Amino acid sequence: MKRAERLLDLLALLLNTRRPVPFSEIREAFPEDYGDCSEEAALRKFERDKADLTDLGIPLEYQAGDELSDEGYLIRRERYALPAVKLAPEELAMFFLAGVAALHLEASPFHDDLLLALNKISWAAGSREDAGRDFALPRSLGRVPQEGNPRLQEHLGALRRAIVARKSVTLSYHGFWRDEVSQRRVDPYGLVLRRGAWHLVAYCHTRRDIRVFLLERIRGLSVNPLKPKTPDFEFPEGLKLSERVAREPWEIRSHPPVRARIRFEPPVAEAAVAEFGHRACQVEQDGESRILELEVTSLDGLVPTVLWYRGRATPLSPPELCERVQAAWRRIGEEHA
Amino acid sequence: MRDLNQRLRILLFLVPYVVRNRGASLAELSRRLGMPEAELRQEIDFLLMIGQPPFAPDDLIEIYEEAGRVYVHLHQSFDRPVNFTLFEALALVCAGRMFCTPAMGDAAVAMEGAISRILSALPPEMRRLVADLAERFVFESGEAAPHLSVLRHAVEERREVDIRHFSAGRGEVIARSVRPLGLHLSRGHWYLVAFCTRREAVRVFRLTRIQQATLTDRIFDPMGEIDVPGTVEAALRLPPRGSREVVMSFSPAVARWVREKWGGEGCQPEPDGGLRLHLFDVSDEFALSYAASFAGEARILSPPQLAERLRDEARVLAGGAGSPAAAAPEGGI
Repeated sequence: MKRAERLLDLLALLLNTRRPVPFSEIREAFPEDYGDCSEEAALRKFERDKADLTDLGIPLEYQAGDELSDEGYLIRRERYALPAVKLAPEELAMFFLAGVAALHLEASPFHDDLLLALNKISWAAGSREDAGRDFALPRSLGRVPQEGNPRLQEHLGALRRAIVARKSVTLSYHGFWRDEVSQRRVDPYGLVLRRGAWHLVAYCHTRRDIRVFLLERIRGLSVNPLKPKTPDFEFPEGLKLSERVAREPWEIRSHPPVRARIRFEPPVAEAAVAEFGHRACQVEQDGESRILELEVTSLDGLVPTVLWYRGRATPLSPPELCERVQAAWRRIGEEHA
Repeated sequence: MRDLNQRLRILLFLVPYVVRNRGASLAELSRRLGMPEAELRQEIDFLLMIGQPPFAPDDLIEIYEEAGRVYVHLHQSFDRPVNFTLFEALALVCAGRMFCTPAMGDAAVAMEGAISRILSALPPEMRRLVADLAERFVFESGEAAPHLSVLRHAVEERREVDIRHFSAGRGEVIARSVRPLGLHLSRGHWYLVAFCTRREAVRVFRLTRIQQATLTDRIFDPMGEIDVPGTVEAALRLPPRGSREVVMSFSPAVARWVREKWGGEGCQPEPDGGLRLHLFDVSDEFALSYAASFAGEARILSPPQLAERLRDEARVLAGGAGSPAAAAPEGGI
């Protein structure tokens, strides 16, 4: 009997009874699979099947016998089955909105898990009619496999295992500034998806500091194969991964923070507030214009953004920013003279 | 390739789903489970062999397809899906947390509640593990998503929405009525896919550029199936090589940035280590802003009128004189 078939049959057997099923009975029920060899070999085979079922989320228990009941294997239905998850239709819709977006990423550490999880909450919400709205949006729930990025997917899968098991990883990393590939041994703390790009936050043994690596620039990766069940490192207490990854170009930590004020004119004022207003210390309204006050650690990182808006963004302070923007316009003018 | 684990998880969901939704169509199942219809048919045949010993006809699952619809008669106790696995619960929490940023406003509060309901349905030891691990896999949605709630209702209830929208390509705010078809997040930005009644075509709008959205009572007819994520991705891709070309050159200092951004497309190395970039059918506003953002390390080569426009803007803005309004480009971005 094929493995998939055997596993499902075994599950059917255990789901259809409330009493523990002794191994001898399982052997009899599957003579071709467990009966055709020594009891020891059969038991080993059964243990592997049990591990497969556990990986599927199935709580298969062994119960020792006593005066009241037999010894044997048992699945408790209340632990097996999806519990009632009471989500409001609004909440279900929000999970789908977020979930479908995550499923269409070119790679994700949880693509297949998320696909099933969304289906499960939709099932728990009731029949298709009750939960009908969940699928009002996408034509397909997940991305089409060929639209994905297989190398990125593979790296994310390996990092997911390493992060959960806390195992060190060796990276072949293409550094952008040096434009060369180097080997780095790192302790992977976690992954951050920001603006559609995956970042690895890790302790780098070469640099002896916490560093951020762009997944796109990882050329190769291997997880420490030694002692797979023993963690190589601890996750530092209080570390917030998202704070480690630079958000905006002007938030790259190259200088002590200064406050910069920029005035955005209509029609871009509203869009500017929506796009990075949440990173501003303060947003002032001045007629139709908006003045955003930003905390800046790299003025050079801010100049391109101001230039992008051209005449619709005016730097107000600090003077250094105003000068750099003006100097940039002079260069642009000369370049096009 | 689908591994055994993923395959079995799909099958263990398929049966209870059809038990609950008699006559679910193959097309719907295929969409839900990310499995082509042909593969689904094979799996339905496979499931007919599954059951409990002694495998008499009444001991087997009875599932069949008729005229594109699927039915289950005997479910052999596969009538409820398997509880969440650790990674399923984690995936749900991580994806849900995309909404839990200050930029998302009310949506963040609602999502926190929904996540805690998922967590409380888990066994205590798994709940702790999921909560811990969710700190290590951070999905961010990035910027704000104004009007998300209004637009989502409009999609569900098929109601037209009157919007005022800033078109970056044209550099102006445009009022129009749209029929919202779907919402999608891509690369940290939220987009609305909608049928524009003015243009009589499906259009993609970035949510941060929608300045006003008013739900109307005008109900529109269903428009048939639309691939919302696909429509957004297509709109974001570089326009196909059209007739109008913009050429820019970049200094060696920034050449690598530019090449990385465009994935080498339209890029031509220059002898001095710089780069020449050919863009097709991009808006003037985009080309001007893109060139300007390089602070003099980029030059527009053609069309000449565009180069002149940037030069004129630069002269005004470099002077530091005049009010910002006076300095604003014609139609400005």
